[in-house]
Amino acid sequence: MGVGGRMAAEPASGVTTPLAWRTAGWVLVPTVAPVVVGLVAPSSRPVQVAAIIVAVGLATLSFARLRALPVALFAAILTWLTIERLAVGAMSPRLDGNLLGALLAYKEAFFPVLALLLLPRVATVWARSPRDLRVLDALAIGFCLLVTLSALASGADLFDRLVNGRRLIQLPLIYLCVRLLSWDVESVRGLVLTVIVAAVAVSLFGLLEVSVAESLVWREAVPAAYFYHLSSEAGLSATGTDVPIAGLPVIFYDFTTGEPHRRLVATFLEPTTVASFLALGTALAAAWRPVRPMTLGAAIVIGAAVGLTLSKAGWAIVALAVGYVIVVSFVPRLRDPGWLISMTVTLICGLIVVAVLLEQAGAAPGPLAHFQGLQEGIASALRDPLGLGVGFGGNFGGSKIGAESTFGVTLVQVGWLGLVLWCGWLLALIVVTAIESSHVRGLAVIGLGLGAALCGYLGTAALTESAGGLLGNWLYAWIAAAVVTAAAGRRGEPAPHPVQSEATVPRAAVDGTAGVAGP
Amino acid sequence: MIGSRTIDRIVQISAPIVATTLLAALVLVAVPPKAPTGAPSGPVGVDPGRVVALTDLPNADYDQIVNLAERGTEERASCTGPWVSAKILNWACRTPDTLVILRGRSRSAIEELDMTWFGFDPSRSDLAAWATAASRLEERELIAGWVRASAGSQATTTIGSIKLIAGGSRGAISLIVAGLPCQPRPVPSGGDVTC
Repeated sequence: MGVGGRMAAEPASGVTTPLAWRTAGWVLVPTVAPVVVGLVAPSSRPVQVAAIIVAVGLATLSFARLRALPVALFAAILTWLTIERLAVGAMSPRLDGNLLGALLAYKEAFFPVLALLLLPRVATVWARSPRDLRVLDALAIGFCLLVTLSALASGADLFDRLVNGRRLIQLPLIYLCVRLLSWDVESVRGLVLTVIVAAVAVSLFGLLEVSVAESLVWREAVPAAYFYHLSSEAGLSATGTDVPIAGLPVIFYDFTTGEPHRRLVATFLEPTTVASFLALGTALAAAWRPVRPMTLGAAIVIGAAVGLTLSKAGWAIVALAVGYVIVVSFVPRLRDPGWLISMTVTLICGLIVVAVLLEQAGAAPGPLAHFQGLQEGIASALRDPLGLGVGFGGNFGGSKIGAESTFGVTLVQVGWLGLVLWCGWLLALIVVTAIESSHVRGLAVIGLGLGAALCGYLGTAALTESAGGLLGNWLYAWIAAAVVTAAAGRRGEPAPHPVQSEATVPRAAVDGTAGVAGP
Repeated sequence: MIGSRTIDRIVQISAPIVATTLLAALVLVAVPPKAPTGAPSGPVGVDPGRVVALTDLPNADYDQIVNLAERGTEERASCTGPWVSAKILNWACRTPDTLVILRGRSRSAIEELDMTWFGFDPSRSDLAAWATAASRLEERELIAGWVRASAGSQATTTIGSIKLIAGGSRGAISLIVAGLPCQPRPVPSGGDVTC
């Protein structure tokens, strides 16, 4: 069992060791640090900046200590990204716009810091990767380089370049970071179990807030509309998201039918983001083998929560992933990755046709905005095949061209080459995930469920800009990278990074004293 | 002879076409065409006609309300719009802590103000200034008093020709000020009844 598996298995043993306590402590550091900053709430701008820098420093220390324990590292990031908006929202009465903005921007340091910490492993991984993974890595690196060059050459505002550059680059960057970590089958199963547990917790909270506890949660404990107002003032929310309806942010409602319908938002305070996260949770719970009543129950609870988000993209991902997992459980022949590609194309075509027909029927005016975004993106890329540059277009850019479509926004900013690289990387990731995991006991169905969820993610990205968000989508890249890395190692090919057994893990690496200066 | 792998490939390639066609047919059958509902559109540049301009709801003048409110709050409002929603025009005016949506049939026929003040101490809000900017001179004091007393609670009242609804949530205190329809009264410069 690898180090990640050791972490995952430790709590089950019922023995609480000092090592487990220390690890748990480091897992909580990236979450506790910003909460302390928010509670102390310094009013002076320089002190606020210094406090956030200290918080980033503590998170860096935590990542450095946990990098030999990838599941614990994952849990450290997951904890803050899952409760970030809820925590900052609850603290918002104490915060000014600057500090709220700084607390929300704090997470932006996570993956660049992780990339820097893991950079020394690049040569080892590249040299030892199987060829199909090297192609996959090259596509991700190519896209990251393209976005970086475009951002440097772009004439857009620096803030717009940073925001849009991050939205474009995040999934390939996370994928590359995770490829540099050590994964084995047990640690990947620990990772998946962590996601399922987190998704159940988020779902239960969501089911409560949307049904019986709306007033208590959003009108008293967490002033959601005020949070969105400050966030909008800080320039961190899309325009118009702070318009309240009956005291709650407009983003809490769906207007597909013309009437406002309340959506489940849970700890993310945003329905499409939480839907993306929970859709993946549903897929993984449904794909867990052997089937257990607990995982089945988890899939039902999380799936119900996805339903109540009223997110069409979330519904599509769940339908595709769960449906595919059920089908391949009975018809093994359909595990061929060609079916996953076929499903992705079907989803994109189906969504576009349904959006246009609903709009033309006057039954749901909303879809047209999404389709228009795609059309604008295509038109823009026909005029400027290399794109206008990072920072232009979309809800977060200098203009609204291509807004509401991740394909559209990508086309506007980095042109045809950017879209081909991004889609090519995701399609390759889907295929490699399915192929690499298909012969690995304990990962086969998980890999297929994940591949189908990635199909849903890629397909819906044609008609939603939410696919560019970090909070709900980062797990897709993280788990896929972990699955392919572990599966490639298990297939008989050399692992990208030698998977260490418990016996060979240096003590200093396990207890987190390697590579960092002691306190 | 065609192998099962070839059949799979044929099905994989044709599935998007077949599935999309079936889906399209299903949508066409299941969703009957109807008139577009009132979802927000993009900004419109055309004012669809002016009616007699008065100073209070439901036929208040947009510019007059904004000017009076800016004088009352001593803050410059940043306004955008109008947007069309359910055949009604909407403008959004913002100050650092207040968002006011003005709704009406035209720029000179504002019927309703939907305001939110973002803060936690209602006594510091600008809601009274905006509410009185859209009301008759003789009712302004009454309206201001009611707003100051009720902001932050859940309450409703009618003062003269104006209905006021206080509500919202902690940190986002809301007030809707709506002119009651069909309140016949003389027009200052002569002419017809306003509704």
